[in-house]
Amino acid sequence: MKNRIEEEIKAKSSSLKLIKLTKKFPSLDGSGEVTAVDGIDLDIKSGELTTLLGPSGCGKTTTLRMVAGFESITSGQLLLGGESIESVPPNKRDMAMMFQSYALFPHMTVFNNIRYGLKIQKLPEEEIKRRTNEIIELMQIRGMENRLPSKISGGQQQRVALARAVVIEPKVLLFDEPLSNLDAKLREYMRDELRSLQQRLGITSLYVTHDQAEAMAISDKVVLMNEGRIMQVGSPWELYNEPASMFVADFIGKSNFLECGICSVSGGGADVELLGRKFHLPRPGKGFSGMAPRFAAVARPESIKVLDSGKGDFDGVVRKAIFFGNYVEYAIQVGDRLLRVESYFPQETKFYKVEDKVGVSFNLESIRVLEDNRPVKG
Amino acid sequence: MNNNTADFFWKLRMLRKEPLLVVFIVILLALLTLFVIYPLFMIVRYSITSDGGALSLQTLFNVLKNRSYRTTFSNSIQLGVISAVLATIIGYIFAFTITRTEVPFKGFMKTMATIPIISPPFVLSLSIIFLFGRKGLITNGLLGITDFNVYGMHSLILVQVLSFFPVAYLTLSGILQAIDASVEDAALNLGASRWKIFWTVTFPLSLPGIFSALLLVFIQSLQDFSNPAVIGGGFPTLGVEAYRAITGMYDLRTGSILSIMLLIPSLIAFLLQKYWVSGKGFVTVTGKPSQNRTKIDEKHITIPLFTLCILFSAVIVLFYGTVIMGAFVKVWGIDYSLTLDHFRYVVSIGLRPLKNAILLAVIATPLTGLTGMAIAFLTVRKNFIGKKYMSLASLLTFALPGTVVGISFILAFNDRPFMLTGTALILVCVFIFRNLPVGIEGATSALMQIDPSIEEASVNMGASSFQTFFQVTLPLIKGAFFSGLVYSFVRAMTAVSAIIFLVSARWNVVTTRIFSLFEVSQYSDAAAYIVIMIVVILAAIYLLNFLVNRIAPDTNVKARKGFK
Repeated sequence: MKNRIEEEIKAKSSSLKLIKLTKKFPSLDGSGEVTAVDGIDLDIKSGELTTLLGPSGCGKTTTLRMVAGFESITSGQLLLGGESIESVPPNKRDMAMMFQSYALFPHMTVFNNIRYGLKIQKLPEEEIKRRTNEIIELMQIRGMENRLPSKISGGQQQRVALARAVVIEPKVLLFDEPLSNLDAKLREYMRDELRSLQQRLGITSLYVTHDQAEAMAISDKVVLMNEGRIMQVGSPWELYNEPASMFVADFIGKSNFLECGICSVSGGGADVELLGRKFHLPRPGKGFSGMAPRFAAVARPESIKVLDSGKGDFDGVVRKAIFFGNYVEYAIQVGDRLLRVESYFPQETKFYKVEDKVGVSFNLESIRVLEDNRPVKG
Repeated sequence: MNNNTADFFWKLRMLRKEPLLVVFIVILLALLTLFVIYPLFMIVRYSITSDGGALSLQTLFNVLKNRSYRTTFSNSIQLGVISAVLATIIGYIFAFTITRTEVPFKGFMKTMATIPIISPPFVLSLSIIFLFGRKGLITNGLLGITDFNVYGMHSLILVQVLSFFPVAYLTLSGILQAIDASVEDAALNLGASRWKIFWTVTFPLSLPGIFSALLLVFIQSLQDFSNPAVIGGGFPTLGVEAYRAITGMYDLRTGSILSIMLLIPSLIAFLLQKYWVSGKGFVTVTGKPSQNRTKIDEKHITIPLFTLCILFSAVIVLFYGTVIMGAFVKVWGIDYSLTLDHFRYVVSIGLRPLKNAILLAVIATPLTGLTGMAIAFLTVRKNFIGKKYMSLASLLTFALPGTVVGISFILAFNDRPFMLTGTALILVCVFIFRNLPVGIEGATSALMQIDPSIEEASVNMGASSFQTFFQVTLPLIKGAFFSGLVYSFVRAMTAVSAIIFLVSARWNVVTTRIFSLFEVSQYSDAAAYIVIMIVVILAAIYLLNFLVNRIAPDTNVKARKGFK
């Protein structure tokens, strides 16, 4: 049976729009400015979980803090459910945030932490009680209401922080790397729990992380950022399978970049030259326009096959072989190139050893072609 | 418009959404201006004008030409330097022994190194008279000397070192504790001897603390009024001479100029301490609990240090014990039989000054505590026009000698529009603004250790700045708040130098009453008063501790609804 609070939260959830959002900081030496966020456009639909992903310093946290109202906006607009909120102070924005450190009030019990926001709103005692209790049920933290945050485990603190955030029925829920303080196992568990809860409540969420696996696992939409700009927006599937640039292909998953000569383009496919041999690529990808000075082919480690010597398109030598259980990671030298290969089901195929001579073939279906924006080698 | 200012204006706009906060900031700034900056301006102006109000440096030249005033100036400086050096050495020995060695009775030593800070004024001076005076227990009673002159620089140095070494101890033990233990352990591991480690690692790393301690004690010594006033004898100092010029010769202008001569070195020392020494620290506080350091337990090091500390502590016990004894004996030096006569006398001449002092301190203490916390919170976490001014004006009061404050308050508040002299209000104001700095410093460092996201979480939940302050910040800095309260209560109860100019017949307080008992040599009656004060202060500390722990902040939301 659903709680009443779930319905209420769903009803309050709202869309969020960022228009040309920009943040400039004075540079450290005081001489000029550093653009931390550079004109970001983003449309987050109601009930959707959007992740801002990127390396540290890419501007994702600054963006989140501008949305929350903790940082000033240098220029651009913020629309919450269609209403402009740039000049609304952070305590009137109707958003709730989950902090990296959880920021639970150390001097209040779990119960008082959770109902804090409701007390601030001066809701009737009855409603505060009902909502607090319902959220405690929902989060499965019954039994620890009277403990202090320091007396409960990391996973429980996480739940309390989430409870405290959603109990106020915010229009948007913000997450600032909320899982980064947990150990690996718990992180995966909490991640799944967070996602299922978010979907159950249908609450609009903006989530910041630098962990691409986390982003893939929980997002409806991933926004990959670098140096204050959006590199690509899309579903996890799109980002992995249709990277728009080498940065995206490199950041999401692992990639081999191979110089790629274009011979001809025909009907969505492309005839290319890779490592001195000609191939027909049936799906060079959406990032491929055929209009760049240089091209690189992206071959994911799992789309390269390792075969016995002489049986592949190329001959190579194993330089590294690491057994991970579910797959073997190889570094295979072909000519003067080292290819990174992941060979799955090692129990059903062969486990080659270092210095073994092997054959190598590409899975041409999954090779994509992108503009090569690396500097030209000397 | 550059982005820095754009950001600043954005924060201002955000502030505008909380009009109550803006009003509060404006009131604070106005009060700081009225009670810190304006009186200071008045005393400087008064010093360089004639009675008619025209610019005139005549009195200034007269004072500077006067040989005895020049001696007075150098006396003050000399006393300050000697006291600072000796107090710092003793403070260092205490701090080193307590933080670095394995010796017994550390709790006792720590107590001895704190008592003089919370003690009523005049205790040590009174003791030295009881012990070494004409009818002194040691000079006369034990050694049979009758012509030993207890008054003068030698006594002052002893009394000031005893009074102010705790300042050095606290500064230095903070620094010594903050030095990463592994640095010294590394030196030991590399084969250095304890002696070598001390001179090559520990001592250089504690140098900023040593300079800090020197300057702080120097300031305290300069500002000291009560001790030079009663045992200075033929050794005039600036504070006392300013007081005599005003009360004895009714020469307010000369008094002002003498107090400014006192202000200048004090201010220089303060600025040096604040901006030069504090910036030089090698110690970075990581917030991580430091691992246990290996304590020195070699006997040839610990025994001499331990002996020194215990001897010095014994002197403090002796001095305080003497005063307590003095309050209970018939006639010191002649008849040592026990009596309660002095207490009866004190009660008979009226406990009104004591009641006044307690009342004023009780009014001033919470105001000082809250104002201090609020200023710390605003200056650490908020952005607004006048922020630098606010922190400077509030810390400046630390550098202002009480004598300067007293005289400048007379000048500023004797006339319309701010006619306050003779009222209780002016005394409360003196207490509040003189005792702000320590509360501010304590709260500031406590705030620095709190993750700002805890406060952001509160704001994010919809709380205003006031709600966040009272429900989240204040409870988290309760410890600093408590010590701020204790400190301001004690300082208010024991103040002499500033209020001696401001008390009136109606609003007389206990310290000035004790001072007048000194002037007529009723030492045992003064001792009785002091014993009562000690009891009151200890009771107040106990009570404050109890109260602060009783406040359960998160259950009190309803009571504070007025703040939205």
